[in-house]
Parts: sequence; structure tokens; C-alpha cells
Amino acid sequence: MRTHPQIRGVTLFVAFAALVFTGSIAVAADYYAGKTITIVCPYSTGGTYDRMSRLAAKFLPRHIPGNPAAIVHNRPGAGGVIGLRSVYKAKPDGLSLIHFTSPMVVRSLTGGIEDIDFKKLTWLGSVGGAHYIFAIRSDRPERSIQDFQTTKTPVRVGASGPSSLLTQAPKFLQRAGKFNLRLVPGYKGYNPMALAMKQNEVDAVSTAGVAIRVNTATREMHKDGTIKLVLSMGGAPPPAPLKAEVAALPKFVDAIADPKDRDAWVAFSGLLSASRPFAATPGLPAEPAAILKKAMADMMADPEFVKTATDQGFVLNTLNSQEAEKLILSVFNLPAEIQDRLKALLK
Amino acid sequence: MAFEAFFEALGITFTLPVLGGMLLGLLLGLVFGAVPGLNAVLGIVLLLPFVWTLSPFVAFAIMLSLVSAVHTSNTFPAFFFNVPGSPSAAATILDGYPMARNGDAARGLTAAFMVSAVGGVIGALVLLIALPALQPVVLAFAAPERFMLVVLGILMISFLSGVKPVKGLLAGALGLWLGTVGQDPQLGVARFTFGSDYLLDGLKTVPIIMGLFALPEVVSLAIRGRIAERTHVDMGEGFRPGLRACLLNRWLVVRSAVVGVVGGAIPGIGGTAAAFYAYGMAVQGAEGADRERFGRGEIKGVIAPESANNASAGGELVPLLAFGVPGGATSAILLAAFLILGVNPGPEMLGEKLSLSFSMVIVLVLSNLLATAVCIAITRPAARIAFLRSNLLIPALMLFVLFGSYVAYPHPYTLVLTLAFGVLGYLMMRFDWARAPLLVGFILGPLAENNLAISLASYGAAFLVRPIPLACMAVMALVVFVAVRRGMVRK
Repeated sequence: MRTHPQIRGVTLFVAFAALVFTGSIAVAADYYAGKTITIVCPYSTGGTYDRMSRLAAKFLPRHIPGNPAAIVHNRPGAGGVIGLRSVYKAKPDGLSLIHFTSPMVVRSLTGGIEDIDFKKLTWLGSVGGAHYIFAIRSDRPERSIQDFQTTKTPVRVGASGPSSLLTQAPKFLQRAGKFNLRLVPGYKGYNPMALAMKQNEVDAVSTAGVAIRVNTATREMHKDGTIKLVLSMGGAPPPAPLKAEVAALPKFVDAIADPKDRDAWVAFSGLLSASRPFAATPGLPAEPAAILKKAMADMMADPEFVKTATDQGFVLNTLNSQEAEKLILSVFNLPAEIQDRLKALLK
Repeated sequence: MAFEAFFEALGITFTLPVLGGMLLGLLLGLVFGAVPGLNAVLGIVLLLPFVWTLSPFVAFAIMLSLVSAVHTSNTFPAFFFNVPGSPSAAATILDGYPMARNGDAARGLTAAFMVSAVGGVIGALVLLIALPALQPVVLAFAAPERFMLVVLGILMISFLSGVKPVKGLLAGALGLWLGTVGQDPQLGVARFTFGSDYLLDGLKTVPIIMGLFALPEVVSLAIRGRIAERTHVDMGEGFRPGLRACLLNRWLVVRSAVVGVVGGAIPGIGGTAAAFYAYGMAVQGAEGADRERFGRGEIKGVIAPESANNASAGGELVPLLAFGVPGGATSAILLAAFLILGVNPGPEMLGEKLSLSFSMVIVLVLSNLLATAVCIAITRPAARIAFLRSNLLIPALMLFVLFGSYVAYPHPYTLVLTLAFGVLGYLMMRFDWARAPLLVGFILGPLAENNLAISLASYGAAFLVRPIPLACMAVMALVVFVAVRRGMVRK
């Protein structure tokens, strides 16, 4: 029996494609089979980045052929630089990943981590962003943008280490928004800062909306009216329970008079939309890079992952590898004068 | 409602999964406490990936019993190797190790374990009864209060733990300076790091403890031949004299437990510092010959810190349950576990989740009692370690020291750091300098610095005239006055 040449061609093509496909699966499965992926969390245990790293350690391997094991290694210190550097300098074998806060890329501009080129990292995607909010104790009289700019008594705002978003955000309020603030740095993360607000040690905090919801002290203070949300600073969409309230708030961008300051803030707040990226070592070969990017996308679409993360208070605004990379690295495409302004504002 | 919740908690706690979980946590805790370098934080971190699918009752049974058991079994290496099994037993070595050297290990350990149980139970009960009442205490200790409390702690230990207060003060100052190595917490500027990434994160506590306290003992052990100075294996009765010592010092046990609860409840202070406070108070309360025995195997020097460090576990849960703010490193991990399990710490722990709160208290009580029973049961055989020959002990001790340091911070420099502090520790021991003030200065120094910076930024110099800082200053003046007066009398 003679077969039609076209059918033969199609059959051959299908057979070849099937061979390539199964072969690639076998190669992929071989690549990670029996291996252990280390997800470095460059912050201490117990925080939101630690918890998300642990979620990824649980869910990511399910989407990687070969079912590798995954562990979390906390390498805190120097605002996350120590952990980041360990992954940056690791062997490019697809076994070292990192989950960190994207505004850290700004430190390439402000100095201190010149040995790290963020453009060389292998970006895998971002699991979420943050919507930043300025919240103040109700016993302070200021409510509007003008109140903060003209108040005679500086508003005490909690801050953390120099490279923390909890410090960078109020610096923008103070320097770009000309708010009369006195920064009180030294809090090791948001939890002690929230307690300090309850103790009336600080008047205000500038933080992610999700932190206000997840932290017991601020959630209760918000509920009973001890603190008020007064300003929406931007970033990813706010958590659902705060959506209506945040929509009615004045926008920080409207408080910035200087156009260059405004551009700098817009660029910076863009990073907040992809503030929870995962990345791997620079120079990763195409094969493990493709496997990891696909696995990350599959994990972010996994209903069980979404439910578990949402139950833990995370707001998932996921971005795939390309979207996350484009957004995060956009800082380096800014005009030189805006980059200089960013440096000056965050110094 | 409270009674219903309590009986519901009892019913749930005495089910097979919860009791099984408690037993598992207990066994793990006994090992993590007894092996230097392993500690409660590491234990809970390792458990975290496995608690996802468990009910909160089972998950917290495992984790809390692990913490209680660690606080109890960490006394063994403190007695035998001059190494705290975990940092919270650091104060125990001051008199625990001398007791072992005096051939009095069985009595000392029994007393230590019994007061650990009492302290742990007091901590749990305080948590149960006074959770709402302790909330104002937590709120009253803002940065100025924490700063003055920390300075008071450093001063007390510097003056009280050695024979010569000036040497103690200098050692404390050295510890404070060592605590500044790394990044400035406010400005992020590197200090004394000499361009090293390793030092950017600061010096590490575990290698310092191991080097400062354990390595000098290896040298000394090599010279002496065995831990106990007596060669005759006569440990005497362990249980009865230990029990007698606890009963005789019952108020010290209670006082120290209260110090432990309060120390644990104030975020940032924690069990290690609380144990040193309790030790300092025990020394301060002793008179004449009693006082001279501290540091040479005085049982009160074991009872006070052991009661405090077990009680601190209950105390640490107060700010965690009340405000979702961890009191120390262990409760920071517990907070993560709460959130992973979908439990929100805060008012609901006193409302709809009251039965879970009660269950946690019951687990704390039971696990403290069980850990103590197990430790007492193995005390007599364990106390024989003190009479083993050095050629058996030294390799094991070196392994523990280097492994413990490396596990805590896996980097080749960690071993260099451990050895460097070993040399320093040996010199301090040789020239009769107390090592505890150095350790306390190092541990509490960063806390003091950070809280001072926050106090100045938030309150200005006015922070000094708040009531609690004023009271702390008065106590400091008293400590200095008593120390100077005693020094003059001695001359």
C-alpha cells in the first residue's frame, strides 16, 4: 500500500516532534533528577520573604521534571546583599535560586554592591508586588498632603536599615514630597515597628498594605481607629479588604512638585509591582533556565499554591520571567538625570 | 467560655496525635539541647517544612515541646564541657562546670532540672493567667526602657561575676566593642570589617561561646586528665540533695522564674539575657562566704539561670500571642509557623482560638515535666562523663566545638573565629579575667546600641527621665555602690 507523500511527511514530522519532545523531557528529567535546589532567602527566618521561599521550596519542585528536592537557606545580613552575593557567585547549574526584594536593584545606583550586575541574573518571575501606604496614629492631627508639608512638629516615622523599603519609602516622602518627617531608623523589620507605633514611639509607618493586614498589632489598630491610612503611595493593587479605602486616599505622586523627583518616584514605585522576584545565578545554560522559568510560571498558576499563599495573607500579582525582568531592569534604562535624582533621594 | 475552652483544649491535647507530636518534639529537643551548636531555633526551622499539613494543635505540640526540652537538656554540656548546649544556658556554665569539677555534678544537675521544670511551669502558668495583664508590661517597655534594662544587665554581670569589678567592666566593654563589628544598624556603614563580607554580618554568637568557654577547657582538660578534680567516682546521692537544694532556695526559683517570664516577654531581651539577670540577682542577694562561692560551684548559681531560661519560653509567647510580635529568635520562627498554619496571633487567641492558647500552655507544662523526668533519669549515668579520661573526652569535645560552630554559621572563617576566641578565652582564664561579662556585652551590646539610637531619634534626651529608665539608673547606682563598698571592705 502506498501512502500519500504528504501524509508520510506529516507522520515523519509528528514522529520526529514526538521524539524531540520525549527526548527533551527525558533530558529535563535527567537534569534535575536526584538533585537539590537551594532557595536562598537573604533575610532572617519568620518574615514574609522567608515564608514565600518556603512555599516555593514546597511547590516549585512539583513542576520541575525529575522531582528534585528543594531547601531554603537563610543567609541574612547587609540588607540582603550577603545572600544575593552568594547566589550571584554560585556555580551556574540551576541549583541556586534567590527570592529577594526588587528595589534592592536601586543599590546598583546608590552604591555598595558594584560587584553585582542585576542585568546578568537569570530572572524567573515575580510572585507578587506591594502597594505602599502611609499610615499614621489618629492622635496626630495631620491628614492631608498639605498638613504633612506644613506641620510644625515633625511626624516620627519608623524606619529600618538603609537598604530596606521601610526606610526608602519614607525617604521619598521626606525628600520628594517635602513632608516634615523625622525618621526613626533601627527597627528590624515591620513587626517591631508596628509595636513601636502601638507604644507611641513612632507616629507613622510607610509600609505595604498587606503588612498592615497581616500584622496583628496594626490590623487591630486599624480596625479600632487607633491608626488611619492617609496616603496611597502606589505599586501593585492593594489587598482586597483595603481596596475601597485605598482608592479614596490621596496619591503620593500628586504631592511631588519637582518633575524629576516625580519621575524618580514613578520609576521606583514601578519596582513595587514586582517586589517579590525569584532569580537564579548569572550565565545559566539555556536548558535549566528554560526549565526553571516554566516551572515558576506553572507554580504561580497552580491552584493549590495560589490558595496556600492567599491563605497566608500574600497578595499574588504574578509576572512571568520576561515581564518581571523588563519591569525590574527598567531602572537602568532611565535617563541619567533621573538616575542621579534617584541616588540623591535615597542617599 | 474560658472553662469550656480549657476542657476542649484538655480533650484535644490528650489525643494520640497531639501526645505523639509532643513526644517527638521532646526527643528532638533533648538532642538539640544536649548537642552544642544545635539549638531551639534550628530545631524549629528544620520542622517548619513538615508542619504544613498538621493541625495547629499537633504542630505547636511538636514545636513547643522541642523548645521546652532544649531549655532543659542544654544543661548537660554546660556542666560537663563548659559549653552551653544552646545560648540560653550560657549563664549556667558559670557555676555548673565548677560543680562538675568538684565532683558534685549529680546534685547540681538534678537541682538544675527540677528548677527548670518549676520555671517552665511557672512561665506557662503566667502565660495562662496573666496574658491580658502582661500586655501593658510589654507596651511599657519601649526603646528607652529596653536600653536602660540592657545597660543594667551588662553592668550587673560585669560587677558581679568576677572577683575584680574593674576587670569585669573591661571585659564587658570589650564585649560591647566586639558587638559593634559589622554593619551599623542605622546607617548601614561597615565597622571593623576590613572589607570582609563575613564580618559584614557581625561576629557570630555560637563560635564566640564555643571558643571563649569550651576551647580553654580542652587545654585545661589535657593538663588535668579529667573534668572532675577528684579521681574517686563518688557522685553521692543526686536526687535528694538536688531536691533539698531546690526547696531551700524556693524563693530564688520563683524570683528567677519571674525574671525569666518578664525577660522573655520584653521583645529583644529573651531567655539568654534573662538567665544572666537572674544569675546577677542571685549573686547580689548573697552575703559573705555565700557570695564568695559563686563561680566556684555554688548551686544557687545554677538554680537561678535554669529557672529563668525555662520560664522565658512562656514569657516569649506573651508578645507573640498578644500582638503578633516575637519576643526572641525562637518566637520569630513560631510566628512564621502561626502564619503558615493560618492562625493569626492577637486578640483571637484570647477569643475564638482560646482553646489553642490553653493547649499551648498544657503542652508547655507537660513537656517541661517530661523533659525534666527524662533528664533526671539519665543524670547519674551522664554524670560519669565527669570522671572519664581526657583522651576520650578531648576528641569528642573538639568535634562538638568545631561542628557546633560550623553548623551555626557554615563558613571556613567560623573555625578561625572559634580558634581565635579560644586563645582569648584561655588567656582570660589564665589571668583570672571573668569571661561572662565579655559574652553579655557582646550579646546585649547591639541591643543597647539600637535601642539608644531609636530612643534618641524618637524622644531626644528626654528618654532618660521616663520612670523605668530612672528606676534602672537608681539600681545601677546601687550596684556600683555595693561593689565599691565590698571592694573597700575586702581591702
